[in-house]
Amino acid sequence: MVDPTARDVVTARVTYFGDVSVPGTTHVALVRGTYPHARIRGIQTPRDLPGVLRIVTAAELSDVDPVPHNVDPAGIGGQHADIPVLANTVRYAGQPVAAVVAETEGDAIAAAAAVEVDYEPLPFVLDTAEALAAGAPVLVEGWRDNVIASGEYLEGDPDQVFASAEHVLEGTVRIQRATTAPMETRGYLADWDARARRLTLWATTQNPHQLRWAVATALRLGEHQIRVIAPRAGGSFGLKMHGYPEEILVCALARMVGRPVRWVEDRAECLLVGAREYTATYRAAADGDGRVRALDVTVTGNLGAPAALPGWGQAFVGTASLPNGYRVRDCRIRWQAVATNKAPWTGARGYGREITVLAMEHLMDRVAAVSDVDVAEVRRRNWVRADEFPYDTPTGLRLDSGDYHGLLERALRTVGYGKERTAQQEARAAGRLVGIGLGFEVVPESPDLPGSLVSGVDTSTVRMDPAGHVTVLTGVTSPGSGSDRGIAQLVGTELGVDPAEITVVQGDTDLCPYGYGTLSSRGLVTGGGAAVLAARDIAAKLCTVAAAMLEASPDAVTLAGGMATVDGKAVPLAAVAHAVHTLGFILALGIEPSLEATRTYRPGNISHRPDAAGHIQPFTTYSNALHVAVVEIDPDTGELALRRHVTAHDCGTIVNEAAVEGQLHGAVAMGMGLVTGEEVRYSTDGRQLTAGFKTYLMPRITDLPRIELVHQQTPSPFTFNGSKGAGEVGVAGAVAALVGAANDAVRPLGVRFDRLPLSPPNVLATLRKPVVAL
Amino acid sequence: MPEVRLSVNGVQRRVDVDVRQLLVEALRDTLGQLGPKIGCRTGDCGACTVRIDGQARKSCLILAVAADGTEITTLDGLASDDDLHPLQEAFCTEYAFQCGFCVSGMLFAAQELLESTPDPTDDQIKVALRGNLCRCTGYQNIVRAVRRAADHYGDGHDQLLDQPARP
Amino acid sequence: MIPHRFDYHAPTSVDGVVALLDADSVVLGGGTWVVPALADPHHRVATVIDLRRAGLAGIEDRGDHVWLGAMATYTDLLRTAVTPPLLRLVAEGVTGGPQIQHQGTVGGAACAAKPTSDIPCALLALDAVATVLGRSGERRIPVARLWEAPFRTTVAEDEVLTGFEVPVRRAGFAYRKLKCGTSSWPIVTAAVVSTVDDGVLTELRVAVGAAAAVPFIVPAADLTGSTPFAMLAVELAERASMALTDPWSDEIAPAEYRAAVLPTIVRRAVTDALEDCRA
Repeated sequence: MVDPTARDVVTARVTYFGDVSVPGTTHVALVRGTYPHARIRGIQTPRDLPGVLRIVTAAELSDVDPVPHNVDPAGIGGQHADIPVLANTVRYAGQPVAAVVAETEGDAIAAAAAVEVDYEPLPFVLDTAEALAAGAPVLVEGWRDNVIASGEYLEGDPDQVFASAEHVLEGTVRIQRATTAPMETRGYLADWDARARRLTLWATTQNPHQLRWAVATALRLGEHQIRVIAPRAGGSFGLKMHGYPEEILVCALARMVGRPVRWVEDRAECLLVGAREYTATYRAAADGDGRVRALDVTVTGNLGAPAALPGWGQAFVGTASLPNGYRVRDCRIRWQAVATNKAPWTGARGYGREITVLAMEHLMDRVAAVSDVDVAEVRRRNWVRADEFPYDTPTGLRLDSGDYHGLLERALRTVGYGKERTAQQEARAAGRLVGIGLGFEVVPESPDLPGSLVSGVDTSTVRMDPAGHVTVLTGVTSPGSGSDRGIAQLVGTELGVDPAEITVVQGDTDLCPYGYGTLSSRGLVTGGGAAVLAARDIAAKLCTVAAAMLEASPDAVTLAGGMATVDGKAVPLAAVAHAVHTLGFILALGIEPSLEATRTYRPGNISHRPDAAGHIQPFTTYSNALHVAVVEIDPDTGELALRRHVTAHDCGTIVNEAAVEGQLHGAVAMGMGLVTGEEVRYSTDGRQLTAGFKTYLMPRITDLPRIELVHQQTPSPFTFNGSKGAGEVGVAGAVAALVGAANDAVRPLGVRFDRLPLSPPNVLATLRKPVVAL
Repeated sequence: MPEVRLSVNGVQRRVDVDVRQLLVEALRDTLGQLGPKIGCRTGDCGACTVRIDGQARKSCLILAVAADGTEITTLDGLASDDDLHPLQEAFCTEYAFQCGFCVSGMLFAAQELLESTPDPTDDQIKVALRGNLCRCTGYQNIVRAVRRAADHYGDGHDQLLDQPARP
Repeated sequence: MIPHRFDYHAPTSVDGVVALLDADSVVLGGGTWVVPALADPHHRVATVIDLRRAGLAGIEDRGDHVWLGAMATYTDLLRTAVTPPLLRLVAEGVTGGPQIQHQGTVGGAACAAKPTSDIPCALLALDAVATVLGRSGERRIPVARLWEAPFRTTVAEDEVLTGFEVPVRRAGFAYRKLKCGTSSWPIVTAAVVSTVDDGVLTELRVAVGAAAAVPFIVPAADLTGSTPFAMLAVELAERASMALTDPWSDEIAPAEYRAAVLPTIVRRAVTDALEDCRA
């Protein structure tokens, strides 16, 4: 049977943000700053333009507070910045400085273009070296420097190990500025009911309750005065976490003009929101047989301008996951999130692991080369072993479970490693540049950050109506990730009901229990866990009442196929549900006569009590994957062809294989895009050049090879069913495997890639500029 | 405002459009057909694809006023009554989409391919669908779904031709 | 939504088009370039003149040449028997997929005059002649004089491009295009028309696109009359490099890259064309 939600999608019966229509809606266009750093001297607003209702600048928003931070860097010792809804000083080209409200979208855009802003340009910085240099302009008044936040993990005595190591390898890897680019951009539609003093906000958001808090805070309203509705999302990947000025602005404008106000981000605006741009420098000490003994890594993120978005946390989480499942105890690991005058970041799928995994795998390949050990073998020698879990890392994390060696063997078998190596030798003999690379990733998921509304728990309600229909209301959302159907499947199993018959309601703060939405692959474990607990409460009641109806013991009742069955006698669940509601004084005397339960699930593993080194363990699960990539490079054009890609994946117990595989396909493809050419470029005068899909080169169907998946299921001991997160794994490992394969391909030429993307121009430039060191 | 007459999902419509409206905007805002989505407005992503006079076209590259006299099928009208088009069914069965925003472009491009090439190779499927971006699936299950539709309906592929639009 | 209002006309004849042309008008072909450009709020046009009803969509065999109407789409090129084979190769590989093949037009691509585009290079290799109509009558412009600067043609403000005459020839053809992935516009293209009669090279036209601001011909006249020698492709690749004095540069590929890959693309295209001659 076709899944009902899927059926609705292919027949255009689901409602996305853009499909919501409210009579009388007005349209917003933004005037955006044109300098990377400038003080605004004045704004000239044109008069009598067709259809224009109002032009608003910062001065008119005196009763609106700054954009509340998603996770304030000050919470871990970083620097706080107030983020204005409309700016008086722009810190990036593209920052909103004024807003036009008009009858039509066209009128709004035309008027916004007619607004004249008088700027006093200020000195600006675009890269982190400039931003950190002595004498660099400090971007925020009162800040000591341009570091938003930073941190260091030190364990053992790395310096001593380096001093006596057989091999010391140094390197730097870089990942370009890139972004999430879901097919649906952001949008907000706000309607202020002046009589009820209540705001309804339809929003493209992953986290409706947290957005409600942010809007309430900035508009000085109670959260109960706001209803946030997140319609079905057209993809998100981190883009639609809260912390944007437009979220607050649209609500403020609706209150101001007394009519519904809508803003939809255009593609150029969407591409402004960054998601990655990193440099990692590493030093590794290795002994003669390919064992890594010490590690010194510094990750620097170019975060763009200070923002209320959670992007800065990526540099932190990425480094926390080092040394990426390898048994290296002597480590110095540092990270810094640096502010520049590019547009700010949000958090994105991969969440910083792409740079740390790339650095770690890059150095592993080099350790293999200097030790003359195969790249697979060097990983075998360095990984945490399956019998060592749970494993405490030097950064204070507790890796829940895993079998990395098993994962490798599955991947190598699937790819036919020996055969591929032989084919590579033949290709090399024929002058072709063919390479094979491995990429391993361990990805912390489902965090709980103390003091913030990023939570490791969630809440679900399960309801059965008198006709037996089941509805699940949950605090987690599903931006295409399939957590809704996975939750339906879990609840269906508990209640003996066909999941296709279960309605899952998400993304409405008036309907759903308070929850934390989607981020970091948390939906199924948290929302699903809560739904299972609630379903079990309902199941127990159904068994009790069915037992009364069938004159049997509740323990003997089984729920399956829509029936309650005991000893060959059966009664439809619908009849049981009806009985609970209509014959409660006869059949349901032992229970509370309602079929509605709300439960919260708190998974294990998280520990907020600092360890001896002062670190906390904020993540629930650690999914992992091992990728094997085969690539070929055209030596004349620099074109990189992706020939094969095998991913062996372990996210613990799989609830819905199709959903897990879909997530993995998408994540791997995103990693491939990062390698092959997605890049947001800036001009030297600080303006973003990349404004559409003609220059933001995302992979198309003809660019990608088949992604061959193989699963290993090592249950997490810390979740209700052994499941771990799925969705973020794939990006980082794919990047590392592809870079490894490209380096393997060009090894005979004595060159090495350390900077993404491996676009044809970059590849050719490297091929023609030989270096020597291994 | 100029008046245009056109057939949308089998129904003759006469509507006034703003000369500034793109066809995708008129279809969505004026004609109530929400199947085509707006992902870029530059003809790159394919989410706004509809079928115009028998050809898959990107409706963000067409002025609404210039669609006068055309016959249009949108995703809203691809299924006939309660029967899914074989491609729609295959996309559901193969889990060929996640967020679903790109589905119009994928389905109309695939429909056109199967009309001319009932038994396509994977490469032919890819070439035919290259005008559509998807960020969720890595395109993996999309290729499978098109092949499934071709396999399952290859013999009676007349079903794919000129599906009567839903009134 | 397009920000500014404008008058829209779809005249039913070319004369009707010409009557409306002025400095504030824009001619709409397939729309893949003009329609998104109308979204720029800083750019205002008074009149949009749509060619869809002006009768310019035909592709016809006219004896010594094939007539390509300005509104012929890439799909028309693919579905018409008399289409010159080189243009069929070009049409097959258009960026944007079938939807754009149905929509994009030969005339539109020519008038957009994008440096990074397929059609200009191909028409140059084919030695086509553009026909334009203005109030003072018809003009014929050899395509070597059609593109003189990026994004600008020599078609005047009060003229409209009506189509191209493409000389008919029995020849070998090849088209090579380098892109940075499927999404990318062309980085370097090479179109080759070559004829070998009884082992003698009687015609050789090699055009290069996307490498410079406008497409150019690689000098090869001195090679006709010779036997196609083993190193011909390499020779032309070298000449192409010499002829590229001011490589185009854009966000996707810098000038150095275009210069670096040009000889490879030309070499491959010439090799293909000579093979096509043999076939």
